[in-house]
Amino acid sequence: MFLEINNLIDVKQTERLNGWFAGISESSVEGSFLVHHFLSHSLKTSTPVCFVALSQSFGHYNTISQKFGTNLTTQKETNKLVFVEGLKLLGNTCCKDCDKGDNPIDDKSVLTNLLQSISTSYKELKEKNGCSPTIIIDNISVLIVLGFDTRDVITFCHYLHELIHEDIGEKGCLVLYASNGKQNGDGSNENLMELDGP
Amino acid sequence: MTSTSFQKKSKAKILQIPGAKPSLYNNQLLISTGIPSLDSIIGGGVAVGTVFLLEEDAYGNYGRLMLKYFCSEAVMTGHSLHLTSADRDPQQILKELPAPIIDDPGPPPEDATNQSDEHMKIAWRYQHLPKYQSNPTSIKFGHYYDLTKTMDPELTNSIDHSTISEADLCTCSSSSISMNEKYALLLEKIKQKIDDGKFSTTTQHAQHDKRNILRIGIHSLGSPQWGENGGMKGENFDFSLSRFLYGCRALLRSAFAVMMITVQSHLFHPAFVGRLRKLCDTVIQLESFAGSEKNPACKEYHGLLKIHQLPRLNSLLCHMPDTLDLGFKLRRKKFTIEKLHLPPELSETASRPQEDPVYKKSPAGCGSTGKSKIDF
Repeated sequence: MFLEINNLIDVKQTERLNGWFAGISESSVEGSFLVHHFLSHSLKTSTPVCFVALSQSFGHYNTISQKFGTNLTTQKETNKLVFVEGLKLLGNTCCKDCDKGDNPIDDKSVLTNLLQSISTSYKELKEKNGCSPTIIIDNISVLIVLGFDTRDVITFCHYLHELIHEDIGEKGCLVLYASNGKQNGDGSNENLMELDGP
Repeated sequence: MTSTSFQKKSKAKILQIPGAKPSLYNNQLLISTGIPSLDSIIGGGVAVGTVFLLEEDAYGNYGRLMLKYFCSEAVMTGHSLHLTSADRDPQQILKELPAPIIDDPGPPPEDATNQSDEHMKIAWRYQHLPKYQSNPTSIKFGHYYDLTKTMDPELTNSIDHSTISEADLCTCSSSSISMNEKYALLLEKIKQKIDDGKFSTTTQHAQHDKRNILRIGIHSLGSPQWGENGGMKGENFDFSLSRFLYGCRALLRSAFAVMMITVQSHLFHPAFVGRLRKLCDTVIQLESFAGSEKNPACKEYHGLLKIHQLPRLNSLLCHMPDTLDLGFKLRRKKFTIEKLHLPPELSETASRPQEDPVYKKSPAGCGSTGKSKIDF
């Protein structure tokens, strides 16, 4: 975890980010280090994490987290971390689509399934640990790049936001990482950035 | 031969696969692209499990050449090769691979056995070591090829290679709504190849079974032959190609395979090209000078090479090459990628435009009437 970032966003090292909806957006510089920062910060403050990886595999995050001092495998075993392998899930839907010609997979149903799995993991973690988890999504822009409708993706984010604000007590935290490419001519990414505004 | 008693404590956890070496920067397994100068620029080689995207030049010649180098390297290292092309017959591409330049060590010295037992007076500690290194490395990382000769078909046939041509793609019967049929079929075939050839990291491998790497080459993906209309379907974007690339990424991350794709990016909408780049790991673009006015400073080179993206695998940073100004040149025998540099100034007259022209001094008279710059 980067101490300088903690100073910049005025968060103490042991503080939990309750009720936070953090949006990380990048345009020309790679911002994935912030995702790792939030992941290690949450794990160090003993907040359970539901990590949805859409752009890289588990091994990549594990190796980098080890450099930060956290072992994701042990965190998984002690139920502090649920790692949703988005790359495999979405990749499999792309592959399966060609096998089953008569059972086409709808875009909306893919997003709904993903939302369901995140929701169940969140509730499980909350029950087992007693405190509200953090949801981190690495690269929600992948959904836009793959062609999911922007409105559907924004609805997806809204549902997640509702999920963390469900209880009156301790609220969870949501961190979304969106990357805006240099030459993104269409406005879909810009709409997503607006969401992170307030 | 052991000259020291030092022994490494840890067991070598890195897999020993011929033709692959671990990266110097991170613990990543790398394979060569076939062009050693390119390997050094992208950090030692292409990482296993990634997608290498090559944005072709306008006429496609250099892109095809680089793909041939990739295939030749597969032959030399014994990796499995899977080549697809819709524009050209992949079997034809396999017949046109450049021949490797193999160092001939020459006949061994005849008096190897009658070494006189000269007692070393100064370097006596090395007395017991053999005079010549007895095991030359046969499978190196990165080979050099001669473009004037083609590879021996026997050598090409010695590795496990398979191709998919346009005819195979037309016989698809699967229909998918989310992706173009041809991409869907190709993805299915790649998945099948990975499973059949046991390249997946999840399959149990016996100790004696040697692991090998699958090299997948796709020539001119996204060209009109694939049913692609520059990323557009009417007025909206067609996301088939991005889904295909994502599907490939998901497959490759858990397989001992590398994919090299050449794409004619000038056919696509620039925003779409940005998306494609994000979905691939290493992205390089070739811009040839053919057909355009040559900048006189770059007349040695045949084009520019631009690096758009390098992968960040298992680390926060990607490899940074020394310079981003790179050009390629195709000589009679080889293709190299070099740092761009201006040719040396050899002529006497300055070639810079802002220099004032030096007038000739008039021959008559000792007083100078001409306007020379060093006139007092």
